[in-house]
Amino acid sequence: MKTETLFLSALLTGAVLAGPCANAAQSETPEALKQKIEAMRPARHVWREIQWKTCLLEGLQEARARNKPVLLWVFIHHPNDERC
Amino acid sequence: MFAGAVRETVFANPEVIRRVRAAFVPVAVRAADMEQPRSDAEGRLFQSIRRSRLVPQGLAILNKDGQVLQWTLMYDDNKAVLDALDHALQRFRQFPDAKQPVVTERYMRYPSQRAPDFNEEARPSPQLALHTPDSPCISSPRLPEGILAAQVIGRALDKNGQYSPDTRAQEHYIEDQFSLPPDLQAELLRRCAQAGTERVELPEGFAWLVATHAYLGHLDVQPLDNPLGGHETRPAQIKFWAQPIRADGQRKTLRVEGTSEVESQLDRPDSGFLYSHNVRLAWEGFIELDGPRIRRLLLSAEGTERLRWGSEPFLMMARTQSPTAYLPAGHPISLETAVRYGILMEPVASSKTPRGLPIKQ
Repeated sequence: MKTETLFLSALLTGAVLAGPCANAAQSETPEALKQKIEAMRPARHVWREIQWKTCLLEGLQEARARNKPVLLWVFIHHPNDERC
Repeated sequence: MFAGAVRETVFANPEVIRRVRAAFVPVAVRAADMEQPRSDAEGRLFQSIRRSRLVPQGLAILNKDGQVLQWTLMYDDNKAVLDALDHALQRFRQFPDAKQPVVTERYMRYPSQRAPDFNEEARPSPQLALHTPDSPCISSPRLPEGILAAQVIGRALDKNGQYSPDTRAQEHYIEDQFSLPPDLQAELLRRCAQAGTERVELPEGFAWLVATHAYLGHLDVQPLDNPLGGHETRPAQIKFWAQPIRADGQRKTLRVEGTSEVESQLDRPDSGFLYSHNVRLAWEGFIELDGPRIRRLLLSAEGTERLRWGSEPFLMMARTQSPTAYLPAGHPISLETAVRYGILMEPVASSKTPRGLPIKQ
């Protein structure tokens, strides 16, 4: 019995290693899946601790109004919500 | 990668965050927008700012009229970041506007590697009329109405199957965006219409697009269509299927299933670029149709991921220097983990852009 279990386990493991792994239990509805995806976001995220404006004109207007310098991020991508 | 390293090191430091929020107006623009500026007021500002840059990327400090007080690419260490911000504030108090000429201080690495200064002339304060619907900000290009905009979330799981608590580094947590072009959307709709009640294979182009964006790490370790020229070390296996499960008048729902395995690598030790990346995923999801349109498309995947980044000289450097001192190279990565991905695709309204999609704060 134990041998059979081990054999079955080895077969299953082999199957998993041989091809892309099986997904966990399927979501019942689109709404349930959406909730599962949204739950992946952390409640607070360090990338968004700084509220980067994306318009330089708006930024300079605020700099004038608040008498502050602009810290300008110039990179291939934006810092808030995309891979970079 | 450069930007990701800046985000994960410089702007993940709580003291830097506190000082930026208190004393600066943070603005993020794309390097490409600055390289090809338009001829409007914003474009003229970009042209003026880019005159003094050392390379097309970096961090700049501007006064209220857009004169550049400082350009910086890297920092000797974490303390140097704070010193650079303090120094910039001092110079802003001296040169708050463009009434007088100003010297742009330029640093490859602050403060130890300073490049020659750049001299900016005095000039009238520019008019800062905000954008109108006819002249939108260059950072918000409009997309065709109805295009499907996708938001991607990916997370590494720990050995207990829980989300990795680290969401700072992109090898543990990513958010990304892409869009489904109209031709691919039409092909997807055609295939869904063919389904009847049977399971149909979804278009290869759609499957590849999805798999291309489901990976952890920075841009340069993208396992498919790698931007550095990495090559596939085994043929990618990507298949998605859909089967109708519900119909209510014009509204139909199809269940999606799929599998993907992608693997590639790059070995250019002379340049310091070295990676290997394998991603194996099983997918589930739904396509919701409303008549001839896709109302929503949701996908989720679970699987495993193996990622290495960094040549031996780079690893040596990383052992002896602060991560802020080699930002363009990112940081070494050695990862072998269970992963989960989620992708939400919805049509973009005419006034929306990917940048305008709601962002959770």
